[in-house]
Amino acid sequence: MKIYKIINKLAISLPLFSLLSLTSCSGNSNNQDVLYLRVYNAGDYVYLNDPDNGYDEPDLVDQYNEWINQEENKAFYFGENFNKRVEIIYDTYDTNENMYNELLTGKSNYELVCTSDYMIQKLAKKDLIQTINKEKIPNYSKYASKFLTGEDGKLNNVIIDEENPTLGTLDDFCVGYMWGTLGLMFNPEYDGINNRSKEQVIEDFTSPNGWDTLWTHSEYYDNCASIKDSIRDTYALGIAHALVDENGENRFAKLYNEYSGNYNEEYTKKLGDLFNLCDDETIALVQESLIELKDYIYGFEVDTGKTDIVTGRVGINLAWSGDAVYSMDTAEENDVYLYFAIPHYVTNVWFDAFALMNGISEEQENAAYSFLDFISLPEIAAKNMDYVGYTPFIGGQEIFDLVTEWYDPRYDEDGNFDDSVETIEYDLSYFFNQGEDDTNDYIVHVEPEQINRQMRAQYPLESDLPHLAIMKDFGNQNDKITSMWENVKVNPLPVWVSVIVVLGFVGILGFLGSYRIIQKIKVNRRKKLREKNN
Amino acid sequence: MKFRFQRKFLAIPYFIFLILFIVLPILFIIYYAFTDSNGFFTFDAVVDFFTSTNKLNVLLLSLMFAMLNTIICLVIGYPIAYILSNTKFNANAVIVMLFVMPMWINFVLRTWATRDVLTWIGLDGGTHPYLATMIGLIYNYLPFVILPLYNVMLKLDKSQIEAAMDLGCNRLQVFTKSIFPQSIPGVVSAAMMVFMPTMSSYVISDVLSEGQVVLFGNLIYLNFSNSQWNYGSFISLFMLALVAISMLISRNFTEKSTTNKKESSKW
Repeated sequence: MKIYKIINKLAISLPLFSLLSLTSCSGNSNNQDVLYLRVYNAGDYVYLNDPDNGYDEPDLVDQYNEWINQEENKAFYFGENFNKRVEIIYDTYDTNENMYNELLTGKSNYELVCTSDYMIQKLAKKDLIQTINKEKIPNYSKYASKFLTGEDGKLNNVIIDEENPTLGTLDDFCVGYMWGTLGLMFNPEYDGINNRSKEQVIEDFTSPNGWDTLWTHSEYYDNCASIKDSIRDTYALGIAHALVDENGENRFAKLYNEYSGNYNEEYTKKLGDLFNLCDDETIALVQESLIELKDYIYGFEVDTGKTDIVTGRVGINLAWSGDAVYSMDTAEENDVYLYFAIPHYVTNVWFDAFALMNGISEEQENAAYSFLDFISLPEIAAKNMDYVGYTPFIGGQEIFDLVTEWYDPRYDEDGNFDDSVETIEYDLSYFFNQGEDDTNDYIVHVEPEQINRQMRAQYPLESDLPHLAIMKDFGNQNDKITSMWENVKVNPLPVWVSVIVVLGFVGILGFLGSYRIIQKIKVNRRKKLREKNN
Repeated sequence: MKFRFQRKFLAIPYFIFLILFIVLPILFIIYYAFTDSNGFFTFDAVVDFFTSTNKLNVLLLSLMFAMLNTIICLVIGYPIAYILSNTKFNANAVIVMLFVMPMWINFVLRTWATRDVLTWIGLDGGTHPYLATMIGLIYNYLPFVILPLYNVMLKLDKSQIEAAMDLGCNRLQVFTKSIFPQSIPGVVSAAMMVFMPTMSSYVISDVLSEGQVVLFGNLIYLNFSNSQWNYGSFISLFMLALVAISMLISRNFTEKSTTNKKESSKW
C-alpha cells in the first residue's frame, strides 16, 4: 500500500519536473513554439568557443541556432508557413558501442546521430535509421568531396548488408562528417628505442610492411608502443600482420607484389575483401598475433595515447589521423617531432557521419537536414577542421585555403612570400576537384618532412589511395571477435597460482565461517575443565 | 482525510532513493542475467560464466588481488592504527587526519597522479603491470583499513591488557591473547572495506597496468560495452552474491561484540 502511494506521488511529480525544465529552456522565446533538434555526437568533435586558444567565435551549435532562425534560411528549409523557433539540443557520448546500447534500449531519443562507418551499417541493418534525401542538403551535394561521396566514392563502395543488397550503400544512409586513416604515430628519436638511428626508424615504419615492425623488430622497439584498447582498431593491426597463407607468407604483401606498380580498382577490391576477413581461422590467427604483441608493447590505452607520446611515456602509438595531428602539433611546441605512417600493405580508412533516425516527424527531418546543410558550408567545415584537427568531408575553396595557409612554409606570419624555402608539391586534386569542368589544380607546397607528418595524416597522398580499405561491421562474427578480444586481454594464471588462490580463499572463508563455532567449543571445553576441577 | 505528519515520513526521501537506485537496478540485473538478447528465459549466461576459462581466470585473479590487498593493507595498517590510538603520539588526532586525507580527493584523480609517480620511481605499468596495480590498490585502500582499526583500538580495554601482563604474559602473549582478540571486529570490518571494493575495482587496474590487467570490474565493463548485457549482468550478480556471503560472514563478528553486553542479549 505504502509503496503504491509513493509511486503515485512520483508519477505526479515527474511530469511536473519535466514541465519545469521545459519552460526554463524556452523562457527566452517569447511564447513562440520551439522545435527542438536533438543531436548526438562523439565528445570533442565540434567547434567550441575557447578564447584562450584563439577560438573566439560562439559555439558552433549557437551559430547554427542563430543561422537557422533567420527568416530566409527558415523559409528555405521549412517552407513559408513555418514560424517556430528552432533550437538544438546537443549531447555527446564516449564510445560508439555505448551510444548503440542507448539507442537500442530506447533510453535516448535523437533525430541525428554522428557515428562511425561500421556503426551506421549496424544501425541500418537494425532499421533504426532512414535513407538520406540528398536534395534537401544542397551544400553537401555541392561541396562534399566526390572522392568520398561520388558514384565511385568510398562510401558508395560499402554495401550495408551483403545478404540484402537492396538496402543500399553507406552513402544512402549517411551524411559524411569527418574521415581519416588509422596509422602508426612514432617519435624516431625516442629514448626507449634501442640501437636504431632516426632514419632507420622512419624507414621501419613508413615502409609498406610497417605494421610488421612491432612484431619483427621487437628487439628495437620493446616496450615502446601503446595500442588502442578497442576491438576494431587492434583487429585491424592484428590482421595486417597475421593474415598469412599456407606457406606463411603475408597475404597483403603477396597481393601488393602481385599488382606491383599497377594498383587498380581490382586491387583495391581484393584488398578490401582480405582486410574484412573474419572467419574463424582468421580470428584465431589475429588472436595469436595479438597475444604475441602483448609481450612487446607498453600497454593498451583508451584515450591517453595521444598525450603519452607527447610527454614521452611511449614512443609509438596506434593512432587515428586526427589524434595524430593533435599530438604532432602539441609535440612541436616542445621541439619534439613526431611522424605518422600509413603502411601500404593495407591502410585502414574510416568515416564518421551523421545518420537520420527513423520515426521522426517531417519538421524534425527538415531541421536535421538544415543542420547537416549548415555544417556542410565550407566556412563552417573549416572552423570545425581547425578546432578538432580531423579532416571534414567537405572540399571547397575555403578549406583548400586553410590547408594552404597551414602548410605552405613560403608564406611567413605576415603573409610575405619567400621563394627560397625548400618545398615539395603535394597534390590534393583527388579530394578538391569538383568535377570535369573544375580546371583548378589543387597543389599545396609543403615542407619535405610533411610527407610523413601532419599533411599525410590529414590528406593521404594520392599514391596511398588504392591501399585504403574500410573495415566493415563484423556482423554475425561479432561475438566471436569479442571473445577473441577477451582471450587477448585476459592473462592466464599459472596453475599453481590458481590452486593457491582457491585454497587460500576457501581456507579463509572456512576459518571465518567457523570462527564462532570454534569459540563456542573452546568455551564449553573450559567450562567442563572448570567443572572437573571443582 | 486529515493529514497528520508522522515521524516515519522523514524516511520517504531515502525510501525513494532506495527503490530507484538500489532495488530497481538489482531487479534489472537479475532480469538480464537470466534472459537472452530476445528477452527469453535462459541459463546461457550462467553456463557461459562457469565454462569460460577466461572468466574464471579473471575471477581468480581478482580474488588474488583482493586477498593480497586485504592482507597487505592489514599488515601495514594494523601497527599504524595501534600507534595512532596511543594519545601520546597523536594528541589531537591530527596525524589520523593526515592518513585519511587522501580520501578527500577523488580516487580517479589520485590514480592518474599515482601513474605519474610510479613512472617517476621506475615502476611504470608498462613494464610492471601487476606490481603497479598492487601498489595502486594498497595506496587507495589503506585509509579504509586504518580508520576502522583506529576506532577499535581507541576502545581497547586497557585493564584487560594490564591484567594479562600481571598474570605473567610476555609481550607477544599480551598481543595474541588480549589485544588482537579485542580488535577482531575492527579487523573484520576493515577487511570487508577492502576486499569487496578491490574485487570490483576497475579504474585502478585499467590505468595503472596500462590496460594489461583485467579484473572483475573490467570484465563487467568489457561485456556491457560490447552489448553482451546478459553475460555482464550475470557476472555482476555473481559479484553481488560474493558481497552477500562476505556480509554474512562478517556478521559473525559484529554480533559477537554486541552480545558481549549482557543487556543486549535479551533482545
